Amino acid sequence: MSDTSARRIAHIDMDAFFAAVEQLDHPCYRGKPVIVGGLGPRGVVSTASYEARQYGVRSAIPMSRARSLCPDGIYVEPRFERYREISQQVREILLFYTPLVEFVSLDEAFLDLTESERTLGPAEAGVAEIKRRVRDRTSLGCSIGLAPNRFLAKLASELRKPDGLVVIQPNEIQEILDPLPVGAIWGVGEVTERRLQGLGLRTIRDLREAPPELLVRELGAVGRTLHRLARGEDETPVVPGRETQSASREVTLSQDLYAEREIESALRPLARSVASELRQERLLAKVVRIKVRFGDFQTVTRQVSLVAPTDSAYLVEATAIDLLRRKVALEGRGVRLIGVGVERLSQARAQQLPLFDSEADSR
Amino acid sequence: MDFVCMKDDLVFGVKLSSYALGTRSSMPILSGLKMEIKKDRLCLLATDLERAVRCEIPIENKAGDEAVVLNGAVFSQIAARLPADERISLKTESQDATVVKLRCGETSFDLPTLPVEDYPEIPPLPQKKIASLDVGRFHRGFEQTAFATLKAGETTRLSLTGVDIVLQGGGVKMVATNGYRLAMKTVEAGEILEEGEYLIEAGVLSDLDRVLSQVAGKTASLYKSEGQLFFQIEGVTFMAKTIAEEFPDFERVIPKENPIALVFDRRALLETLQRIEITAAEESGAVTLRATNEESAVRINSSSKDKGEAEERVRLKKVPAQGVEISFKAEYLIDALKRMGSETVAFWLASSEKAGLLEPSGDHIAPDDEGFLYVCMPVRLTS
Repeated sequence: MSDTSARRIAHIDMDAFFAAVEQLDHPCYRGKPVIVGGLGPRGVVSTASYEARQYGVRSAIPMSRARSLCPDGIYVEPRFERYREISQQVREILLFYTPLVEFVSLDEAFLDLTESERTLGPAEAGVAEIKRRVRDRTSLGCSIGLAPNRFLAKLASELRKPDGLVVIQPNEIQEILDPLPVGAIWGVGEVTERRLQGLGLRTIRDLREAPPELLVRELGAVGRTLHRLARGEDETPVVPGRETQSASREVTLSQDLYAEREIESALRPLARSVASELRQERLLAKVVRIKVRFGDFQTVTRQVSLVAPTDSAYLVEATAIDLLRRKVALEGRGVRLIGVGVERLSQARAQQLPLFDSEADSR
Repeated sequence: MDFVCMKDDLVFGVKLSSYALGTRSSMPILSGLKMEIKKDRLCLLATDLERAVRCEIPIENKAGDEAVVLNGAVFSQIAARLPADERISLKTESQDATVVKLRCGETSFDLPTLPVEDYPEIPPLPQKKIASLDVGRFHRGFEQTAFATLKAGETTRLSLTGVDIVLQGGGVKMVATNGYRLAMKTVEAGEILEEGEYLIEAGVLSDLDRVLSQVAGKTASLYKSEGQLFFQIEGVTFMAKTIAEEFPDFERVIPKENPIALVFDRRALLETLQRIEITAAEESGAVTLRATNEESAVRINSSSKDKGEAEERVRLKKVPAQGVEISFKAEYLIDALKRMGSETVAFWLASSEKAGLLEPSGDHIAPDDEGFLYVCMPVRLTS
């Protein structure tokens, strides 16, 4: 190790996880394009196998688009319970190396191996062993990045997917980061990327060399964070058990909707789909939120805490509709995107059952 | 404006109307208390637009009819601390009525007025009376239902912040729910002239309850207009805005044929639950009740990782027809048991995921518990 004070953070990402599990359980799917996601009229792709990605199918695109890109693909609904089971096997392996494991989702986790290096030897050997043990136990591949912080570890795990193992040493950071586009930075979405490009900042190097004052003036506090990330700095700790899971569905409407009733009709199936994911995953949500993007791209989110955590489709739907009616001023503007999400998820060990749980109960 | 009145009358009127004083800074005029003088009557008025109180008192008028608005908070503080003197006089000092002089004994206050033309119009009392209601019964109904609502800031579901008042047949039903438990009280009405259903926010009802409790009269008359319900008693009128949202269909969720009766001494059950609640898991607050059809007792227990475990055996007044194991949020049961007065309660259950119905039972139902029932949904526990 070149720098004894550096942290050793690993990011592990299961390769095309949902699709890979389907190929594992159904040998006839192997080597073929498999697309997992909602199969309803407005479904969205959750995961596409690498075979399907060759056709241009990506996660988060509408299922209808996937079908036109890859008409011969195998389309299946997600089986969260099975994914959870395999995720649990991976979790057990990771916890052997350190208690500092933070699961971000079923197929993704951060590990802080700084302390365990003393007892288990170099982290480089550790992550290679993790990869092997995950393959042995689950028959699935994963990609791992090892770096001095979370940002770089995640970036490293994405560099050589699938089945990749990339280590970023402190003295390599700038060399690896500099040529990447600004969009490679965690949290830089399309909008921020466009704004940065507007400032003439295309690569991470451009961003790193830009005066911090300019970034703060143009982007606010986020500007400072971006500048730090461009230098490869990130102090965020790995927090075991944080598991800030959430579930959400959103849909970009084929044309802007103006009528309240139509907007509500677009929102309802999203809410039901989110609740159904909760039930499949045996999770309860304490917070329901909605997202509305108007024709002019102004985006608002509204959320409310429930009295008791729920997985009830009726409650999630009714709450989402209430949020839309009471907390969003539509003012006759067209809506181009609408979404429903749930947060503060917990295992469904204790669930306060609701009195009114169906359409019919609420006149 | 120039009048004299009895100090006690004015203090009473100011106190009652101040329950409706507004605090919203967006409409400063609502922090004012309006005084309307008409011949030998003074009408004190306050509103925050959700509720309004109008209170009439007799005066000895020395000038014409007039209306002024005074700072409500200041006026009610003055009313509460007036010196011991029987009479009080109020008089506009200046020609344009910008200052009111208040005199009581050796004390005098010069109070600036607020622009009376800014004060919102309060709907007048409608012509047609729809019902009359015993104040004491209303009070018990309020006490035994309003607690089951959600606070206005806690939810987007406005219907769950209100008490539904149903005037039907010869009775008044008051119902409230937070979506997980429901409290209902049925009381006899003095008379019902027109049936109807009115949903009123629990906070507004709480102010109504406080106003009614201070009036000597025993019967309030009810009137309605579009979006409002009025309660009139002696010289006092309370206007409550109704919530423009449908109340859930509560009749559907009241269990009708739960076969298992757990008959408890109310106080014993309440005290046990308060003890066992201590070790209930933070998120669910759940305690589990286990009964068999072999003994006249229920085992109640709770456990949580960090706080420990507790169990207690509570005697039943008879052996239940069937065994049952069911969990509830302890707080929900405690809320109801605390607001009952009867010695004996029956908790009617069906199965571990069906609603339980709690009601006063036995030969000695406390008069105040008549017509009360409480429905509570269980907590589903999975290991």
